[in-house]
Amino acid sequence: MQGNGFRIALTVFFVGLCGYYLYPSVQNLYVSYQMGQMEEAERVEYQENNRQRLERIRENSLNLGLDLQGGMHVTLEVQVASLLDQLARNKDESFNNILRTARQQAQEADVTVLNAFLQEFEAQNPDGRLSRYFRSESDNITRRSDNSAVEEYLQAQVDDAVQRAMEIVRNRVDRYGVTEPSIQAKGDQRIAVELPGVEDPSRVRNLLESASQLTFHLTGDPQQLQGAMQRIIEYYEPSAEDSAQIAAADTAAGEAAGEEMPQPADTSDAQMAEADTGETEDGTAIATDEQGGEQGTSLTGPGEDASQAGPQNPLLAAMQPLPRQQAPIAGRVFASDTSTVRELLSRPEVQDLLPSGVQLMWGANPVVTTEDGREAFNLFAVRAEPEMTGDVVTDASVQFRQQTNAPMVSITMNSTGARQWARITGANVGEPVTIVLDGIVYSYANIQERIPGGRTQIEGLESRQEASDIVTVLKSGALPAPVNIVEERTVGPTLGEESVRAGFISVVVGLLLVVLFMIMYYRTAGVVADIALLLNVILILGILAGFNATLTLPGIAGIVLTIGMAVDANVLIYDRVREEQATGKTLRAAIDAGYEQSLSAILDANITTFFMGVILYSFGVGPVQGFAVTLMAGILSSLFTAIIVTRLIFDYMVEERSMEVSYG
Amino acid sequence: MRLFENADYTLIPNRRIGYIISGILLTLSIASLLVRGLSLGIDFRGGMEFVVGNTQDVSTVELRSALTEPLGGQPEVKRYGDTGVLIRASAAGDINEVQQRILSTMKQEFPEAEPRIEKTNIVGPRFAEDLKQGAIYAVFGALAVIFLYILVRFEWRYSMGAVAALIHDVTITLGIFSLLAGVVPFSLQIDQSIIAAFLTIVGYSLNDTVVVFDRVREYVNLLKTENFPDVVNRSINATLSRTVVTSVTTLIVVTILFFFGGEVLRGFSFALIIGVVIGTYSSVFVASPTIVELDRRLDTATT
Repeated sequence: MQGNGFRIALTVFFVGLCGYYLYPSVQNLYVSYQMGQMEEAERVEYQENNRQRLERIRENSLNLGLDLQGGMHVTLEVQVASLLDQLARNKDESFNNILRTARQQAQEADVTVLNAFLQEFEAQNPDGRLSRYFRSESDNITRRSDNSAVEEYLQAQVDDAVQRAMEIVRNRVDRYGVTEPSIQAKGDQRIAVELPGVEDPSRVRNLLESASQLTFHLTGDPQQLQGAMQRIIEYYEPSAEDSAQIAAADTAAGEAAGEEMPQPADTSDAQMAEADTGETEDGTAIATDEQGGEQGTSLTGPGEDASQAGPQNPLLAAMQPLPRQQAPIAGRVFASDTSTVRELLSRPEVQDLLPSGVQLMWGANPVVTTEDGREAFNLFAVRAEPEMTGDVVTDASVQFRQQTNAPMVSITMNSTGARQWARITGANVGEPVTIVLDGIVYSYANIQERIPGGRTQIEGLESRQEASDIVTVLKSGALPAPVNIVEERTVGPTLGEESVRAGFISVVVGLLLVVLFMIMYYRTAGVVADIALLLNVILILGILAGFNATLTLPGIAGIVLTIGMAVDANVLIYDRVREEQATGKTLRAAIDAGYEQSLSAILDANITTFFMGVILYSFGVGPVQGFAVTLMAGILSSLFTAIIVTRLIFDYMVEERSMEVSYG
Repeated sequence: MRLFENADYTLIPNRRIGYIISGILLTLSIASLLVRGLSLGIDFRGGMEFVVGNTQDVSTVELRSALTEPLGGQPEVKRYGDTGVLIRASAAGDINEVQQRILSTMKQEFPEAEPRIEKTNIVGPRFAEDLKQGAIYAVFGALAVIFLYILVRFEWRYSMGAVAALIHDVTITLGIFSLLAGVVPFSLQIDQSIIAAFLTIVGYSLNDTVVVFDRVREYVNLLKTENFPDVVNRSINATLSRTVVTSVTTLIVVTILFFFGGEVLRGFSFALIIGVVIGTYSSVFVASPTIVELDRRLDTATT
């Protein structure tokens, strides 16, 4: 055993280190098992008393990937094209063309929007000055600035936008309340967000993507709107010439035809204003629209008339106009038909028929729900240019209306905002005003009187949750540029549990079969290899815990694979020992020669596989990286156990115990 | 227990048999890759994928036709595990809206089922393009690194032999994926985990090859009088026991992964099963013959 001191020390050191790193994980397992046994009340009390300790244990124990514990992984991309569009002034046709081309190029090739934009600008205006479009006093970019200065300024703006977007996303995630979220920059304009244990992905999507652009709009003139809607309906009226054109849209909308569309009997402007007059607890004086006639009698939809004749009016089939309305509501649409209506109304010829400066926007929540659970939404006509924007908001909170207990979001503005709000409300008493968040109308009500003090509220919300999400996005601030989800992977908790179980079974069964095979094939030496194999699994987990790596399902697959491949080094050694024995060497000499002769093959074979792991890790993402990490950890630990640990055991058996070791 | 002890098969002299088998497999694979192609998974093609649980009673055929209109195009609908269906749609549209449409359609058409979204995979077109690029870099990077490493540790003939074996393995595995896609009851689409499996196959095949080469190198110095093909044949035989044992243990674990690892790892472990078998075969019948052939050519060239 001489000369083995170093090996023993090394083995003890590594095993000790792994034990140290794995201890919290074992504790975690034990504690969660214990808590599983407890009664509900007991558990709560236990958690109360041991909060800090539990948290520490959880933090230090082996991380499970989202695919195992359930959760949501989202990659967001900051829309640089929109940012450029926002930054630019004096936009002309040429600018819009360049931006459109740049956007397309960035979609198709590996080039950033900004670079594509700059190149395209250069190509179209060889002597052009970027300062034609971009100026900023605070950044010292004036009409005289040369292109390189502007380019620098734009790059800085993009970087800053990504940075700010990340902070805002972090803020929103924190307010949403997930345990141990992770938010990281990824490349130039992407942000990777990991949210363990998310129950409602669609809510998170809204929360993350919301630009949080709060705007206050006056509405279009109802009379004008009625006329415009009439003309738009006429535009879609099927006639001999254009029935073909309509046919396509008709099939899409056809489903909605012939259904009853609930409609308020006769909700007039005046009635709405009366609906909830008087000052609220906040001292504001906006009458809330009860969003029109839940009690209204159900009228027969237009589909009935249409279904009698051959071709139908596709717009009327999908949308219910509200002709007697004095309100700026273009119509009412079932949730299932919104995309049809959106498409029909977005045609340029139709857009031209709308009163100038007026834009159609959807209501946030359904106004009516039919008996069979179908929901209808209002389509508002509001002035496209906002009266004021939400950057004046200083605070927001969830409140409840006193009588109805309906949730609402109360907003406080700074002094500038308060002044503006007072002016707008003062000048438009009796007119409806809408509060719009990200292009969707939340509140719609008539102004009763001038509102000083800079307070108002957003109403017409569906739930407390919705109210608190709005507070979250308002308080975290507006995103400097819109972000889009470019990648999302969500795994539900049930599927995650199934994966854990599947992985665990695979590890155990794989281990068992390989262990049995090795004993059968190599006898005593097989037992030694099996000890090394078990140690291997522990070492891999230890390495993962030590490096704070995450265990994913592919990672478990990597462990299972390592179990099969880790014996390889032992197999190489043992076969070599057998060969040496066959040449007539003593056991002692055969073991020495076996280890020595097989070393170069073991190293070569493992180093190449390790390279594969490195390459996989650098190019892969998420779970694949997890696989690469366990593969690399497995190679390191199997090298260690095969070369050092098994040698130690054999030396002990042969030299100290003078045992006759069978290599099968 | 001892397998292949003192094995003395005439493998190298009979290498033509290996050439014929490999030739047939490669031809079939390349033909299938050209004709049938590979079906790319969502990672590399972009799109939306939803696994809806609690739908064991829903017929996939009916669901497909029911979803065609709301999703604006026929989606792919497949069974997923015991209780779920997998729905693949193109990437267009708002995620929440698509998800809502799927759920409401299912509720309408199959009122008795209580569908629950278990899993989503959404990849935008540009992102998919980036992932594809990463995968291509990874595969070619891996091949280059291997070539260089073997070049440094051995010599160029061995490098060629190793890389020839790797290309052989990956091509045939891809070919089998292309041939069996749609025939077997699980997804064989190429996604990131399949790329990971391919690189593992590359690593494994190399592992096998390197062990044989290592022995060739040793014997070349030891048995200077024997001619090269005999040395290689002897080396293969000497390492045959190890080659088989390691293949067996590895096959055991990947087969277990295939059966117990769950739906997510099915394609991945299937690739590994094929890869281990082909990789073992190729180190004996492709990599080693290649160095023999190259050596012969070299000899005739120099003499």
